[in-house]
Amino acid sequence: MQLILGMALLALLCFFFFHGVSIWQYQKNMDKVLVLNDFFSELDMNYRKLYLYVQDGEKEALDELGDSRKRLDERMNALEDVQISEGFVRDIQDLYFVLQHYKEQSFLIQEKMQGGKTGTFTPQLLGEAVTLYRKAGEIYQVMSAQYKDLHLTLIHEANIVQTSLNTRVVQCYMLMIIIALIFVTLSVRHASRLAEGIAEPIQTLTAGAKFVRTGDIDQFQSVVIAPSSYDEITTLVAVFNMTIHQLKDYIQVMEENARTTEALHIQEMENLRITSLLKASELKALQMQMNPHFLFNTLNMISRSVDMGDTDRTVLMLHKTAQLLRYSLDYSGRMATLAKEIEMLGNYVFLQEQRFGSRIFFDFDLDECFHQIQVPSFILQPLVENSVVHGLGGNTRKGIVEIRTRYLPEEKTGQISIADNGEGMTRETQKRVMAGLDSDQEQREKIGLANVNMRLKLLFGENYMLEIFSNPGEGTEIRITLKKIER
Amino acid sequence: MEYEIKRNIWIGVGTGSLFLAAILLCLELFQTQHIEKPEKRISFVAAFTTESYWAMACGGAMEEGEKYNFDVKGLSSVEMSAEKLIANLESAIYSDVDGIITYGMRGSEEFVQTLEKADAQGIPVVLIDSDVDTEHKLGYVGSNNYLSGQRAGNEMAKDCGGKGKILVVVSYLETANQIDRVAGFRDALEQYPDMEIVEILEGESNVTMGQEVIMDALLEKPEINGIFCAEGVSACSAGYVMEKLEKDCEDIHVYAYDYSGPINEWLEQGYMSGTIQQDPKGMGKLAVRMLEEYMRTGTLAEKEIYTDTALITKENLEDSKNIDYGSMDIQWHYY
Repeated sequence: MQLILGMALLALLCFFFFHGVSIWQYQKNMDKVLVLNDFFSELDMNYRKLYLYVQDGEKEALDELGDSRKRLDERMNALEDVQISEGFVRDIQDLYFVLQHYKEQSFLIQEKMQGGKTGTFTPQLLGEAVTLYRKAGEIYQVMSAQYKDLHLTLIHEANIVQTSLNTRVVQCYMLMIIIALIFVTLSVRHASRLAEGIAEPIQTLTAGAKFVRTGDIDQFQSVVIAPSSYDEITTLVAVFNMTIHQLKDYIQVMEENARTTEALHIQEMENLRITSLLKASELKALQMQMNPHFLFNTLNMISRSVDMGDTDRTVLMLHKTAQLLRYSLDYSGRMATLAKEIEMLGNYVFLQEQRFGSRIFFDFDLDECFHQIQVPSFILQPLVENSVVHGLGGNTRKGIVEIRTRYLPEEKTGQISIADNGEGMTRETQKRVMAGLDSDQEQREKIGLANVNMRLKLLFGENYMLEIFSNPGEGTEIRITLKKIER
Repeated sequence: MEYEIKRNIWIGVGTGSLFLAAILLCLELFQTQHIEKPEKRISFVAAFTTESYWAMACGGAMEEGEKYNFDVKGLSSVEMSAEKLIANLESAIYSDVDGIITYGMRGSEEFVQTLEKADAQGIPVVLIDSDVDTEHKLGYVGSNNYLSGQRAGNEMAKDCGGKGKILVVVSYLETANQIDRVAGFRDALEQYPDMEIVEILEGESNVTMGQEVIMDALLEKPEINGIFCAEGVSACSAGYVMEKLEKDCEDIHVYAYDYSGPINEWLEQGYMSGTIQQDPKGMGKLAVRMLEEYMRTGTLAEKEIYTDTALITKENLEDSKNIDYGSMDIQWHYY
């Protein structure tokens, strides 16, 4: 648009310029015609002055004649400067010589008349002056006769000059038109190229937008356009790409949030479940701490001991039972060191030894270096109780229960193992027990092992492992492994 | 950005070319035109310009003049006029030209006086086309009018079978070249006892006037079987009359001078028997050459130079067409 306006302005300027030149040239030519007219009007004037002078011979007339002659010379000079064509220059050259003849006559007349003034004037002199005047008149006629032809020639030549100028002006116009046409052609070509340059990236952009609209925003990479595209388009596409990417990021964040929320929810549910389980297990634990049967049997045993009058043993048994009860009261649902737990296990074992006598043998093999770790209270007693029950149940031979703790420094792992030499388990039973540890709540609650397992798992999580090693008739070993613990 | 640069380039190119055009125009305008003055000024004073004959003579002079840096200026009057001729000569003389080429007007005292005046001022005058016997001229260039007239007479007698009544048409009885031509013609007819000139008419160098007198004469004297036009204008008149009367040269034999008007057609159609073609261009050239020789050496080897003439008839019409008789565009000065 600016280009077209610029061109139009330029064309207008040129138009004015050319016209100005043309008018200027015309004026110049007209001036030449005026110079010619001036000369001839002065010539007429001069001839009249000459006539007047011859008539009265007064000084004023002579002065006027002289002035006129001077002007005539000036105008002749001006005329000689009109170099419009060879023919005209030649004509003026001819005219110049005729003028010299005329002036010659004029001077001769002046001479004769001056002679008259100085007192030697005679009728003969007058006669001579008149003859000279006639001659001058003749020459004047010769010059006057040339006026029309000179005038026509001048106009003709001026016209030729003007025409050639006009032709040149027309040529300039043509040049201008050609340039304008070239401009228009180039502009059109440029415009179409520009349109293509805009249209193509826009199409690409639209395709990109469509792609996004169909919902495949994750698959969307970027709208790529030719690098030579125009700034505006490049910016537009860049902004589009940026927007889409921001949108993608935002969607991702939202998804992440949703996932997190979901995870949190699940976690919460889990926590709730665990809390309820804990509550249940704590109750169970409490129940298990002082198994009523165990307490009954113990008290029964103490009673018989009193009957037998064995006071020392009675006192010891009462003491141990009291310690167990104290532990039960103080640590129920709380943490205790492994050392404390084992100490209390000792009390329990003592009481069981008192009950079963030589029928059962408890063997302690302890690595006390890691016994300061905190563990849930009453985790060992149920396991030992299991070993006593399952290990001795229906068995006639002597039952052995091994309680062993071990620390593996390289792996920073502590192991607690309770083994019996009882009837053992088949593989199926093992599998069922292992499965029961993690699944059915009802069943879990029934089994002390499951309770222990759950509480340890809650505390140590991944760093805890419970294994059962057993063969039918060869006894059972329950091994608890606690990883990443320091001594 | 690229677009911007391209646009600027094109604007630059456009502006540049327009400015260039403007500058060239200005240079052409403002260059101070100075015309070199010619070495010599020659005035060519022609008799009249109704015929291309004088234009060709003047053109020849101009062409030749260019070779020597002579400026040849053509002065003339539209129609033949002694007064105008002398006025033009006077004008040339007062202009102190370096040389004059003019038509020799015989029988005019004033003309001779004018030549005398020129001679007094030291202006050499070359006469062309027709000669005048005076010592004030430098020389003469032209056809040998007497001989060409004689030739026409012989041709006419042949055509008429030695028996004929002939009408002679001239422009003016006193016109020098025609006096010679008619003299030659008459002398040729003398040899044939049955050939006779019945009348000599003046056409006054005017085609219409010529037609009138010829027509009258033919109607008055039906026995006329030959017309001799001693110059080009009356030749034209005779041609038109023949055409109008639908008479061909079997009835009336027409012999003429020069190559003006539709003579070509008349020759072809048989209205005209033949025409004596002079060499006006050659005359002009030779006249300038004569002036140049005189200016250079102060003398002349030959004071009279005769140019060629040719008799054009229907038979050699084709050849004549090859001769450069094209009219020349002369800027005549009519003072």
